[in-house]
Amino acid sequence: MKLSNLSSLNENYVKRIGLIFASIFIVMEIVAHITGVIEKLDVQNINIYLLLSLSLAAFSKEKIDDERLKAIRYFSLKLTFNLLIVSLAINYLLKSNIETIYIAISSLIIYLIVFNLANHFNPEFIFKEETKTNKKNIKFLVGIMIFIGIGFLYNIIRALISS
Amino acid sequence: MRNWLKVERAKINITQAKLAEKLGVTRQTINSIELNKFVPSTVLALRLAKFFNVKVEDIFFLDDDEQ
Repeated sequence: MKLSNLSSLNENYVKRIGLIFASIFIVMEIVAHITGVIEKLDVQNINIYLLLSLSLAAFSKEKIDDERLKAIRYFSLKLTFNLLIVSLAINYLLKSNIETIYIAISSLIIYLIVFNLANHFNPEFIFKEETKTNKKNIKFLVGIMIFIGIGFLYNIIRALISS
Repeated sequence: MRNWLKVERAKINITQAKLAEKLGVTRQTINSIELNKFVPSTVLALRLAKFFNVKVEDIFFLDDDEQ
């Protein structure tokens, strides 16, 4: 089997350019963090370039962009967006020092991975119609309530410990 | 929804790749339709029917529980 048959990446040169640039900036970022040769300001610039390169790779159209790919893209975006909201909420709740740009970068990387995996393995559940939306909404509501509860408890415990 | 796409394709001896190329979709899309994973849009269903020179209902049909 040819390598070109394995992935949609080889079908689109814009995507390839984005991925090549993103790889270069990821290597630069790692080198900057390990060796410390690049100043803080330059690291921030690298992050912006990395974000732009990943956006180019993530949102460029495929060579043949048909309705199945649109469904996969919708699924991947939905999943990534949910993860983004959760990670932002956790970041805010735990008052951690993770910069928002790293969350954005990791979201785009997750989107690219999910999109390409879904395109390759073509799982059936992506194309299934949602019929039990009401049940899903209730689960989502319960999830949010639990999340708020945990956050509230965490803040109380933190306040008690600090006092 | 199920379909006779594979049968129709076999009748005129055309590959998934060739059919996909003719319709401007990916080979995986044709494969997904044949495996009943993906339900095509009305436009694609009509284009498939036109390509095979049959009615849409000759290719696509509803399951018993969908009727």
